[in-house]
Amino acid sequence: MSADQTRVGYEYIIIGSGVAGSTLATQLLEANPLTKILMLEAGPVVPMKDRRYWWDYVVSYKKPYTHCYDLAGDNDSVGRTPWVSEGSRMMIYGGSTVHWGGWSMRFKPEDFHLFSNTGGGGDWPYGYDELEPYYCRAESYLSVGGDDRDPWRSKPYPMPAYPWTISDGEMVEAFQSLGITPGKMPMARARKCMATGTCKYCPVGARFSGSYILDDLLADPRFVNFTYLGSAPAQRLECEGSKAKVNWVTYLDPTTAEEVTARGDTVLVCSGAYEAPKLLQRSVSTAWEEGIGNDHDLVGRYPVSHPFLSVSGTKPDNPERWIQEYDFPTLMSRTYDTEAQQQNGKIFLMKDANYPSVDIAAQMINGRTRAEVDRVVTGERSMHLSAFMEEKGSWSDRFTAAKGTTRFGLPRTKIDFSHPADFTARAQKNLGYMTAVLREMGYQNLNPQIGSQDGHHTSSTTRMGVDPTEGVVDENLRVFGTENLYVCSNAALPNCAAVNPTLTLVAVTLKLADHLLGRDGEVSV
Amino acid sequence: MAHTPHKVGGDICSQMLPPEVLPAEPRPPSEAEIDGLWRVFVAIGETWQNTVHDSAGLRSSWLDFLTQKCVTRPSYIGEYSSALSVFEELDRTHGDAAMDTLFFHSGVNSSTPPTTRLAHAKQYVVDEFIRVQIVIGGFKNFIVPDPPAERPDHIVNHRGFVAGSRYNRVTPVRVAIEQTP
Repeated sequence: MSADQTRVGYEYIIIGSGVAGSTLATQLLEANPLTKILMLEAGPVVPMKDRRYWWDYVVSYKKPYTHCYDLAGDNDSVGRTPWVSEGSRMMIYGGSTVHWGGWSMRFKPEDFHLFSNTGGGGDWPYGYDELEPYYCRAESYLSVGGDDRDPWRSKPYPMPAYPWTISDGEMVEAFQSLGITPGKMPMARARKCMATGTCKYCPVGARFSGSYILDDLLADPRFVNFTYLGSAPAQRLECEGSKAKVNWVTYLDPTTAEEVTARGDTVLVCSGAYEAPKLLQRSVSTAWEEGIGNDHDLVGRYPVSHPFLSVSGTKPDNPERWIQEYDFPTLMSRTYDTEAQQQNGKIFLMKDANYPSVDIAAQMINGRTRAEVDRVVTGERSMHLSAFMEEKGSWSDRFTAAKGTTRFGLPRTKIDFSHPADFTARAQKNLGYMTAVLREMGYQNLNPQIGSQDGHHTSSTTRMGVDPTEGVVDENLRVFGTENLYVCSNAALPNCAAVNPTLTLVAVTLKLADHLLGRDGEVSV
Repeated sequence: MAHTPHKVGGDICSQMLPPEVLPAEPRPPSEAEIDGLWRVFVAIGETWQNTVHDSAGLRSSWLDFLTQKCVTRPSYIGEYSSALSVFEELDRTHGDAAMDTLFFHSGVNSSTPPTTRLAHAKQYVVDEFIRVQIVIGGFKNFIVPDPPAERPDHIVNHRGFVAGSRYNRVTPVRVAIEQTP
């Protein structure tokens, strides 16, 4: 290292600015405002709460951050099951929370014992009870509204649930007649929500996003030692002195695109389940010949996401003129998200927030008269019931670096993933439960479908384990064999249950923050 | 209403243009431009009969939209200026039927790139005004055409709708009546 490169040192280097990175920075800075932190983000800044961007979104549904998604050429899907990354994750100030839906469900107790219960997937090094206080803190931090009691909770939701809308009513009745328990969708958007129905680009910043957290940190005069560098992709990690001390991070300078190296006492990899394993894999040295933390060939393995199941149906008319009035689902059920369903693959049910819908403006634009538009509004009604399906992960599936780099200066990703042979049969069984609901509601033209395998909730590529033969990181998210390198992202989750993993990631992040601050066991809500 | 597309307007309407937004330096719209464009926005509500009384209650939101589109890049000020010349020509050639012609008989296919001045006016101005008009309140009359007398303000929400001029109210929705199992 040159003298210039070693001149500036940090207590923490955080790689990634999404919900994990921004939350860790917040916790560390609130505990000690003078903490020296460097945050590296590969993507650019896109302004939020911008009135022009919002109007453009309202008029054309054009999101101002589309250029921050993966492009088709950014990844090579080489397994038997095509893995679709476009639209799934974001390289941007604030990370993928910029586009997430705000759905905030907890994992359930059986999810922490997936391998013990089924022989597949991974067990967590600890149980639900240990994480439960952090779930409470995470719900408070994200301003989650809800009212369900499954799984058990020690404190009520901090915010009220959104009501079931009028078009939820007939599905609620069908659920109940079939013995399915309906629930209100827990949502992280209650802080200042005006129900604008444009959650993908909110004009008032109501839905939680890491970008707002970063805005606050960067504007706070107490945090003079917090440095954010955007368009600065991390390239590799290097050790200092011993194999266990990973103190150096090499990244691309955002103005010159030349390699720069910074030193951190502690390095926190918060860059998601695609980038975290690739960063470890390419940090090769004589001490770590297969990459950091990869002595047991586990880095990048066991990727899981959520196969998306859906059943649609139609009725010939819509006399009540139902439309979807929120831009998010309000009706869900966890009846098939239980230990009894784990072997088959649990599902989390939600009424699709895109239906029923009528594009009234499009009718007018196309020259339809008032009477003609009224006939469309009261005409055929479509209803969809959707589900996330749990996956267990396989050692033979793997994320690694492919040849070439993306426009963000990150290596392209080679995704080798194949569904197990019995996947389709298990998914069809779940679709059977879902089809029964729409049949009970009296819908026709029922169309059950297994969606494409996409990367929205990708997890487990550097999963937690009790020892280095089972996992890449320990119960505190520290990479086995190191003293100061942590992976805090969906990559560290041993599985992804049947629900959106963001709330669980925040809970795990708050737990790590306590560990870093020496507060283990002192959790308070 | 017949939908037979046919050539409308005169030389201005038929003038060929590249499909992109007409280049212009950002600036606020003038009073005359606001008046000329407001007339079209009001005509939307009159034509589809979807405003509670008239469009006056929607003006502040529409003005916010219009201003944002003019003062930030890519500025629509060139499109709006161009559209006003189209509307004037339609007035000359179609008289009282100008707006009806524009809404129902323009012959413009809104799903293909606009290559005439008329198509620019239809797609970049009229079509966007229709979307804005629906989002900021025009949807209500289509969804609840006969609101109960005790709640004439329509309890219904829509994607993009913001209640209250200061964005400080939560929009009510039609809710399902919960039955105790």
